[in-house]
Amino acid sequence: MRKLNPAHIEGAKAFANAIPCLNWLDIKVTDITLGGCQVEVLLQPHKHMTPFNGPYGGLYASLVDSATWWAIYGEADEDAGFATLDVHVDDLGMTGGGRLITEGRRVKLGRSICVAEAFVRDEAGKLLAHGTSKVMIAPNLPTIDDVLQQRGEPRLPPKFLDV
Amino acid sequence: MRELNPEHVKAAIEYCGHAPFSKLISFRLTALEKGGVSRLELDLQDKHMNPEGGPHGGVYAIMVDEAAWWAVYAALDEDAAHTTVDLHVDDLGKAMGGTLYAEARVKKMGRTICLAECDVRDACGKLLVHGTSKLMVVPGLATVAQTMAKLGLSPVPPKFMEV
Repeated sequence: MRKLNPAHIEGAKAFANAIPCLNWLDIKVTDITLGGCQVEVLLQPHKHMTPFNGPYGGLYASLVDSATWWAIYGEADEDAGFATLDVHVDDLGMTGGGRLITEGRRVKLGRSICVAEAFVRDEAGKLLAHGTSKVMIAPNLPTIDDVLQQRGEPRLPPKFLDV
Repeated sequence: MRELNPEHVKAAIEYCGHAPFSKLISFRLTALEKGGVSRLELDLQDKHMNPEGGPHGGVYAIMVDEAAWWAVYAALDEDAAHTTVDLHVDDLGKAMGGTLYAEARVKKMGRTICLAECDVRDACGKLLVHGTSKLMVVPGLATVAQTMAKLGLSPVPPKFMEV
């Protein structure tokens, strides 16, 4: 069985948390496991909330989009490049503030099409949104290392350890 | 026959422009039209983009979520309020910059559940995203006019006028 290299995961999290769009939404990838991940956001009243005092639906959608992508990333081969094909989000509840914790899980890792799901919960564990996403693996899509190389930055350490 | 009051539409566009999340994402509502149509625009900036190029999937989802909400708003009775139940987004293409244009239309106005669909295109008309969203009319939920009053904004003109 293969095991994720903790040094690679730290590098991947740093890469994720420097993505401008996630940075600007305050979305942080806090954990990446084999086929799973955790993504969090600390709600800010003047940023993420509707005038009706709940988070914007678009924020739930962004959390589902990110968590499903990183859940697939956590299990896919090192040389795989991805593109999101679709996202489906069911809005199930509201919260007035605090931290949203999103758990991403791989449902199926296919050769070309992967499916992942995500659960968005508040700090008390109340389920606020559930979503799924299909992600395509294609040989011509850039990997994180391709992006780093293009920027002239060092590659990440190997993704998997042989155990 | 009732028509949307242009003064109300102007106030709604202004209200949307002042909402914290629309400022954060930098999208703008540009039109509400008779029969449940909304138009939204977003000028792509570095903050919206993925490191691999192209807007983050969350940005597409946010545009569909928001445009669908406003499309239903345009067809909803003045004293009714609605909330999003779900969102489905198909990512069909990448824009490398420029302005994104979302157009959402109500497909069905039910007594309780409404369905809206949305296309997002670039300036050349290339289809980048197609999405649908279900929204629920909820008795007792605060209306836009009530929320504006609560925020101390000037009273909104009537939504419809008889012609």
